[in-house]
This record gives sequence, C-alpha cells and structure tokens, in this order.
Amino acid sequence: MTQATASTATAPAIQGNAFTQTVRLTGWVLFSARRRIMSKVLGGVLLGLFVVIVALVVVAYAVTANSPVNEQNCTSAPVTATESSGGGTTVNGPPPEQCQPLTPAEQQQVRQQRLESVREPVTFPNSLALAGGYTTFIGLILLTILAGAVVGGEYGTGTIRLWFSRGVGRGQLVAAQVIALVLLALLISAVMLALGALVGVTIGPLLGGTLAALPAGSIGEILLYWLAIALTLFAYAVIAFFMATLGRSTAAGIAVPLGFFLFEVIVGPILVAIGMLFQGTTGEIVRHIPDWFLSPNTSYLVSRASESPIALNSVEGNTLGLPHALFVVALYCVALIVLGLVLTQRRDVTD
Amino acid sequence: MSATEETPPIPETPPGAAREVVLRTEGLTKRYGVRTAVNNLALEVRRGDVFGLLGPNGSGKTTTLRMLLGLVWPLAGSISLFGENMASTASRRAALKRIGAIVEQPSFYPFLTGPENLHGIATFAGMPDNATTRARVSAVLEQVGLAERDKDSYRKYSLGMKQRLGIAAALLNSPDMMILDEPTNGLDPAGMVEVRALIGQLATSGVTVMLASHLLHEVQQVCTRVAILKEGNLLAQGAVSDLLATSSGVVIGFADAEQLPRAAGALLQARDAGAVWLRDVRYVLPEPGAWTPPGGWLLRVDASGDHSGEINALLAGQGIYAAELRRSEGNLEQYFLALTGATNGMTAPASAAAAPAMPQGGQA
Repeated sequence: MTQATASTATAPAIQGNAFTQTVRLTGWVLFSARRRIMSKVLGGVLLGLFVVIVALVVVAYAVTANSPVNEQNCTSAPVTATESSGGGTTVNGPPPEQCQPLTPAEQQQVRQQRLESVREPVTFPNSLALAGGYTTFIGLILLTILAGAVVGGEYGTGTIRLWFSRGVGRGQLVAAQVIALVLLALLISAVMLALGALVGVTIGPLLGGTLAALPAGSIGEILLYWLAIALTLFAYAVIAFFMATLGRSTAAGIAVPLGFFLFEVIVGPILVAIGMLFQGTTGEIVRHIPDWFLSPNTSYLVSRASESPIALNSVEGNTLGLPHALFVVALYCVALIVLGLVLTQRRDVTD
Repeated sequence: MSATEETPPIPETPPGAAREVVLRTEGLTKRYGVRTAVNNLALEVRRGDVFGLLGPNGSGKTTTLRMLLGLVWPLAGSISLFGENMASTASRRAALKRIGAIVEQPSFYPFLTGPENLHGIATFAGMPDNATTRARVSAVLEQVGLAERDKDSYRKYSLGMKQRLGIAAALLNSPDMMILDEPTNGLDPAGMVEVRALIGQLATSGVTVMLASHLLHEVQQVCTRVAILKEGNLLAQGAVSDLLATSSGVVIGFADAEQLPRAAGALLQARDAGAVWLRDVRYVLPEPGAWTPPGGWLLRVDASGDHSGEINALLAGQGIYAAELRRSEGNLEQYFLALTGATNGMTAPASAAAAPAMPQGGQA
C-alpha cells in the first residue's frame, strides 16, 4: 500500500443534496440491475420468446397458405316423411346433408379468411395487442424476478450496509428502488410495444396484411395502453420489492409475488364458482372477493386503456369499473411501498 | 510500501491537531430480545486517536460499531459524532459522510469489478464529476495495491483482495475518521503489516481511527487508546501505555520446583498482609525459547518492576532463592486476559499448595 497522506490531500470535495443523491442512487440501482447476469438472461428470454411466438405465426401462415381447403359446402336435404308399417308417418332421423365440393373461388375465399385470422395478430395495430398481452404475462414474470433480485440482493450481498453506513438515507434508498422499478416497467413495456409495432409494420405486410390508417386519437390510446401495461408490471414489481424487504432475501422477493400471481389466476375463478353455489349476500361476497385481487384490476385497466378508437381490447361484460380498478391497484402499490419504507426505516441492519 | 517497513510511531497527541472529542457515547444500550448486546456504554474518542475496541466474541464490539454507523438503532443512550447528535437523521447523515468504514467483511456487488464498485460509492458520495471520480478511484486502488486487478469482478477476488477493496472504499471519501472491524482479517502477514502501516499513516495525517480486533498484539502495535468490552459491558478504557503500566510485573524462576509453591504462598501472604503494590501472583509458562525451570512453571508477580528488590528480599527472608528474577513489561494480552477472566492456557492461579500439572502441549 502506498502513502495515505498523498491521496487524502488531493481528495475532492463531496457535493450533492438529497435530491441529486437520490437521482444518482436511482441511476446506480438501474446500472447494477443492468449489469447482473440475471438481467441479461431475463432480457434474452423476454425478446427470444417473443421472436419465437412471431416465428410460430409465420410458420402457421406458411402451413395455412400451402394446405388444401378440404371443406365442402354442405346443405341439409328437405325433410322427407315415410309411411310406417302401422300406417302412420315417421321422420327417419336427422335430415341428410348434401355436400358439394367447394368451387375454386370458394376455396380461395376460405383460405384467405384463415390467412387473415393467422396474420392479424402480427399486423399493425393488432400486433400491439399481441405485444401487450405478452408483456403483461411474460414481461410481468421477468420484471418481478428482476425486482426481487435487485432489492433482495442488497441484503444478500450485504451492500445495504455499504449505503446506510455512508449516510445514504433509508428513505432515499427505498425511493431510488421504487423509481428504478417504475423506470424499468416503463422501459420494458415501451420496448415490447415498439417491438410489437415493428413486427406489425414488417411481418404483417410480408404476410399480406394491409396497414390501415390509424383513426384519430390512436396515439393517445397507445400511450394509455403503454402506461396501463407499465402499471401492471410495476404493481407486481412492488410486491417483489416489499417481500424482498420483508424477507431480506432475493428468494422471498421472487417466490411470493409469482406465487400470488398464480394464486390469483387459480383461486379467482374457484371463488366465483363457489359464490354461485350460495344465494344472497354470502354468495355475493364470495363472488366479489376476486374483485380485490390485483390481476383482474390490472387486466381491466389494460383493456380499458386500449378499448378505443383502435379497439385492441374490450371491457365488455366486465363489471369492475374504472374507479374500482384504479383504487385497488393504487391501494396495493401505495400500501406496499409505505410498509416497505417503514420496515426499512425501523429495522436494524444486521445482514 | 514494502511489507517489512517499520510502522511509524503513532503520537498519542498528534502535533498540531486539536484533541477535541470526535466520538462520544453515553449510556449506549442495545438489546436483542432478552440478550443485552451492549450495556450502558460510555466511550470517548479524540481526534487523532487510534482507538481499539477489544473484547471476546459476543462482547458487543460489532453491535457498537453498527450503532455508530447508523445500521442498528440503540435502545437507549446517545451518540455524538463530530459534535452531531446521531439521533437526528440529518445530523447522522452529515456525520456519516465524514466516516470511512468496514463493518465485518467488506460488502460489494459481486458481478461488478473493483473500480465499478468504488465508482458507485463515489458517485453516491457526491463527487463533482466523472473525471474526478475516476481519478479518485484510481488513486485509492493504487494505494491498496489493487490497480492491476481492475478488470476482475469482485467475486474473483481473494479474501485479502476483498479486504483491500474494503479499505479502498473506506478511504474513498477522504474520511476524517475510519471505523474498521477486523481490518486485517483474511490478509497475509505482509498485508497485515501494510494495513498496520496504513493505519499509522492515517493517524499521523490526523485521521481518527477506531478499530475492533481480536488480535491483541496488533492492537497493542497500532492503537493509542483502547476500550475493553465483555458481555456488552465496558471493563476498561484508556491509553494503551497506562493500561500496560498496570500489567507490568516480575517473573521469577526457581532451580528447585518445590520452592515455587512456597514462594507463591509467601507472596500471597505478603499481599494479604497489606503489600498493596502486589496486585496478584500467578503461575505462568515460559515464553518459547526462554529458560524452562524444573516443573515447567514460573511465578509471575503483578507489580511494578520497581518492586523487584522488595520481592527478592521478601523471598530471601523466607529462605527462598530465585534462579531467575526479571522485570516483565506488560502486554495487552495479559491485561486483557486478567481483566476478562479468560485464560490462554499459559497461566494458572498461584497458591501455597503444589504447583499445577503442566497443561497438555505445554513446554517441559
């Protein structure tokens, strides 16, 4: 080791207020998230799976385009009555169908209908719905894993000590982590929607799709759709943040939110079915328990945000309502962030 | 700096430095459940001190350091660091900006390189720009001898290299005070010497150093003041020289093993009769390479070396003649063991009865 005095003499002054430090800390959280091997793997999985899905659509298109249309044009024959031995008349079973092979023009029409239905998801703007739906499932899982690793990793590696013993405010670290999760959710959903749009304007036309002019107000709808998807991702990332903080581990930050996600998917319909078995208030209460789960409300917001004018999704038949959905999602996010903050503020750091 | 270079002497009062108190704790208490980790601790560290925190495992050293660094909240008591009351969030953060610390093992992001880890800390520490940060990071890496390994991720570092990076991180913000928990842990002997030299240099340049260590000889070498903890309680605190003065003594060897318990009995009797300068009498084993008397044990009298003549006369008056009688300067290990009631297997209580059997592995 060399002389200590030399370096201490040239040391720079320490600068920055709490706000700029929080911004820097957010940048650091994002940098450390990006540099994890896990991030690269998860990013690869996210993009790779999407490419596989698009490739499957292309293959399905090629198979459909090259398959003969074997359907026949069938019409029912007129009902004929026969005399029975008893002198009455009976109808002998269902009327027989009379099938004719399709004419070449009809075959072409059927094939075109099938090709249209295959290429529609990869043609803009419907490709946005494909990318959005993919992101709210696969993207959600992957961001949750990343969030659990980033927050829980601070405890696992002991780097939480590094920050707090250097005067980083505990609230500052929580703020930086939450802001980083917001930015990651926005980034992931933006990248996936951009990829969806790219697929839509390249692969769709290649498969014979036509790009229609967007109706007025479409940009606003796409932006809302993006925000709704990002909010969905963020809400589950917040669960990962809270559980990683509570359990002071990466494992808790990953396992619990994913388990909750599966729980919602499995238990929600079961509760609705059970509720149907009961009459009156009890049945109503049981049926509406899933209304307070996170997933139905984020799904509602995503569908509602993309309902018009492009009509990527629809909330028809969904009784939740916008205020309820916004309230439940906000409740989850705010409550878990506040609880995470209180835990971080009050607990001893002994990891 | 070479490993064999002498550690510079650390002045107990650094020249030109005001000796104001930089750290003061009062009534500092921490409990984990029913276990009291730290009890009513009052410490005082002055600018330029190299302050050693000593104690056996579980004595509360690390908990104390954690409370000083704002990692663990005290149950009671107060901490004043650089005059800032650590109970206030703003004051605590301001004070901690002036500290460089390693608590337990260094903690860094394993997937980042050493420079990247330091860059992160420096960025947060509020260095004005990237160029300054890079220069500072390079300087501290050079200082701890890690400049050549700047491409390796932290997970590839050896234990000693991790410790060096921890020291580099602690130096990064040019702290006014360094808090080091077992700073030589994992280092090879040359690394230990280097760290001790670094501590000496820091102290000479006016940086206050507080370190917790199990290595008593290390603490004795580098520290100017120490506090000794046991089970969360402060047993002693003061200048090393003062504490060592109280643990100096006289070592006596006999050519006839039967004279050993007789001498012990005579000295204990004298103590009980009012010889207040005679603090304690114990059997001790000779140091490696020293003369070993018949029976293996020597007699150690805890008293100032100035009383050698009185001891000799007292024994001679009883017809007991020593084959060897020499002054023994105190060391921190003896003081520590005597204070904490622990034993290193090298001592035994003296009595007028027969000397104890030699411990297993002891010298014959």
